[in-house]
Amino acid sequence: MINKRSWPDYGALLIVCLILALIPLATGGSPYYLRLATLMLVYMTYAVAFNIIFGHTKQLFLCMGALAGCSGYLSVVLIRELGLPPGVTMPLGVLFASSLGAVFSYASVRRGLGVIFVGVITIAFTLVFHNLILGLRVLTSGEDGIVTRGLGFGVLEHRLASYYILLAILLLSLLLYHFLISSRIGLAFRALNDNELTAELAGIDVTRYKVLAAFIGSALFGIAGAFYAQYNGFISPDIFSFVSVDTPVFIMVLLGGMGTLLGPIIGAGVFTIVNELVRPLGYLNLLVYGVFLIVLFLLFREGLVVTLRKMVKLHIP
Amino acid sequence: MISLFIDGIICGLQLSLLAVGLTLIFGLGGVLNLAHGQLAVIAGISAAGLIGAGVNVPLAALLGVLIAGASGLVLDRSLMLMAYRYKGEARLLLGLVLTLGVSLAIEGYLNYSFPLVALTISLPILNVTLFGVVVRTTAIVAALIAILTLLSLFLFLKVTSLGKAVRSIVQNELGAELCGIDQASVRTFIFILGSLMAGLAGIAQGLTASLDVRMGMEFTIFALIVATVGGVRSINGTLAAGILLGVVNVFASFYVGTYLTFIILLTTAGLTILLRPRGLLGDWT
Amino acid sequence: MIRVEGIDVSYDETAVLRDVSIEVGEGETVAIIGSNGSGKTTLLKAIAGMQRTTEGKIFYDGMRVDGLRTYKIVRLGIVYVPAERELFPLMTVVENLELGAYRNKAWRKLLNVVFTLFPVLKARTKQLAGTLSGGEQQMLAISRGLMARPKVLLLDEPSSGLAPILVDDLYRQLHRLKEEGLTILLAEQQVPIALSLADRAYVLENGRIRLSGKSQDLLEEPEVMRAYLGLA
Repeated sequence: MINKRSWPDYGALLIVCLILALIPLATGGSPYYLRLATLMLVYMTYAVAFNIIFGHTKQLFLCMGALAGCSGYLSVVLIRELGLPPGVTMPLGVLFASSLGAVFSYASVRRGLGVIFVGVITIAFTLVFHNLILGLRVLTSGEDGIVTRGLGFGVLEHRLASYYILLAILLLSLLLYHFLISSRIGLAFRALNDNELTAELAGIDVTRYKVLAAFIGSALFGIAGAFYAQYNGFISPDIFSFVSVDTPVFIMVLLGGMGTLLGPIIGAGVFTIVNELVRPLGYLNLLVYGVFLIVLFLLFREGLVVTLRKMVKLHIP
Repeated sequence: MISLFIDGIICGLQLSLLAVGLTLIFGLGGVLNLAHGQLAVIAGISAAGLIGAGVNVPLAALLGVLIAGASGLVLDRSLMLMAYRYKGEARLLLGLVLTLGVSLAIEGYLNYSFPLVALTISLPILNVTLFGVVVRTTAIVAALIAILTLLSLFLFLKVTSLGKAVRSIVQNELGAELCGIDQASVRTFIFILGSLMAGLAGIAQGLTASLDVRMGMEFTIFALIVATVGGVRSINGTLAAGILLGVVNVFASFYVGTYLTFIILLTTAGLTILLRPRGLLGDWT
Repeated sequence: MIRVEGIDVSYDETAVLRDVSIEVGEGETVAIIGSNGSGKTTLLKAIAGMQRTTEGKIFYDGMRVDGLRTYKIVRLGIVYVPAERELFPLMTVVENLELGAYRNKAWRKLLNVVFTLFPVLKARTKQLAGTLSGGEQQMLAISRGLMARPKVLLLDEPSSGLAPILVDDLYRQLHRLKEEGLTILLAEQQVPIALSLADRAYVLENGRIRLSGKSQDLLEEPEVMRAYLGLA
């Protein structure tokens, strides 16, 4: 029973699109809040990617920041060292990230590694990435980072254009997700998520689907990473670190609801708001996250979307 | 060369001490305690605080370790109870998330309240010559702590009836229940034991280098990597993995820079996991 | 000693046991017979606390035990030996036995009892349980159960996976235990040998008690003869 591409899904997407499109108006011209909102869009894209990889095929990729960073750094370094235009380097970065993700996935499936092992290997990769960037100072300027051109051109004001470009990317990601999940591929995902052995015995090539999910998800990480690198005007290892990317995105997807369309969006939105509220507390914000995570997971095991569905008795995608 | 080797083994013993605690808890309870590293930090910071308040060093260290054990007890009897209600993957995920939350909470609180506290223990005699090689006494003490703890653990598991009960639960939960073994109690006991070992690892860190409030997550990740390389259910494997990685670490740092060392270490770990997913050695004794 | 009153057991939506009542008196040997899927194992598991009942009560010496955790029931004296044995494969025969007597400091004395019953185990004390043959594993499983000094022994298909000659051997030893006064409740597919050991038996079919009575009488029941012995 393939999820039909039904009106509620498109309707929901439309509503989300509208809300997000109107946010810049709500920021009242404050560059700080506009930047915050733009960052939120990037993280929402990250969350969609993680949802595909972990939510739908149980591959615990704790190298999200590293994948995004690989794409971002490769793209920026190629611009700096070889003078290539972003139009060329960014796709290369994305290709790099997606290939890496696919390789990790393939190796893990072939060796029959369980969830934890994948998690540990990818954490190891995150650390390798971090140290590589720091170590290859010549290319990457280590902790100092590299300055990048912004996004945005022409008609709209620079920062505003960036917002809408990233919004467009997010929406494309969501559409991609939707088509993917409601297709036969999505059906295969559900089968192997339930029980890999049974799926294999039913003739589903588990390896292929897992690697596909990893490839697509990593591509999204790469895209978000590359665009973020350009938009931010500056990249450094910190913005792609485990603490900056993996931890929040993990929380966002858990919070919003794995395996749902809007879950990552809602999760990222709520998290961003809470993050802002908690910012003045300094380190104490970690305490808030920790308690938040515990309470939320105990109360809303399946995430906000599923809980809302039950409460409101509406099918929220 | 020999001195590097000795250093490597000492480093490895510390890693093993930290990681075995994690392996124990996972083997028995089926939960990966992501707050494990924070327990080491709790021990170290408590000890540092006590030393600052005038308590003598060995006592402060002991109290620090006990505090870590107590924290483990609290954690097990509160949050972990909810995870234990489930089985298998659901328990694993819930345990991961809950302990991640605890880890974040502890890190946030400690960094906020005691940002500058660090544990550094030094001994009156600085160096000692062993096999013609000069070794720092602090390193020796740290190694002794690790060796004694691990040895006691091995004996405990092999010889005592509670230890055998522990092994039995790992091998067959149902079988253990049928023997009248109360798994919940044994699990709590092991959780406390694992926490105490984390605490000891924290003290050891304070001896060989220094331990500060921010190291919690780092410790957890190291423990995780070592435990995984060793095979998450195998104590012997974890011990071997720790020593292997310790030696690699020391040799690599000597010949190449810090970053490359990390990369070599992590790649070694990654490759070992890929080549031997069932862990370095077999199962529990 | 054990009284089961009208229990129902379901897995999710499927009813496995319906309104089952049995009684086992002290010193008695009672058999539960029935084909695969009739619910024999579920009944034993329910008594052992491994399976929750949705209706009904289970009494042991007048005390209600349904709802208690298995290990507590074991400590009360009801020991269940599952068909799958559930041994500790990486531990030696002796260690398995030691664990069977968990919390009993004087367990070594019990070893003699076990070794008299199953001399084969004495020869293999230091062998790892996982390397034993099927028959030896069965003997070990029962011995481990005996180490807990049970008042009631619940045996689930002790003959499963055993060659006929080993089954005879095993039942001979069970006779000895019975003569020494042990209360036994066993679930068996092999009807003749079960009835030769048991004083009374219940016939379970599709989760309900179909027949019950003295073994002697049941052996002459045409239904039992037809269904289980293949005789017209």
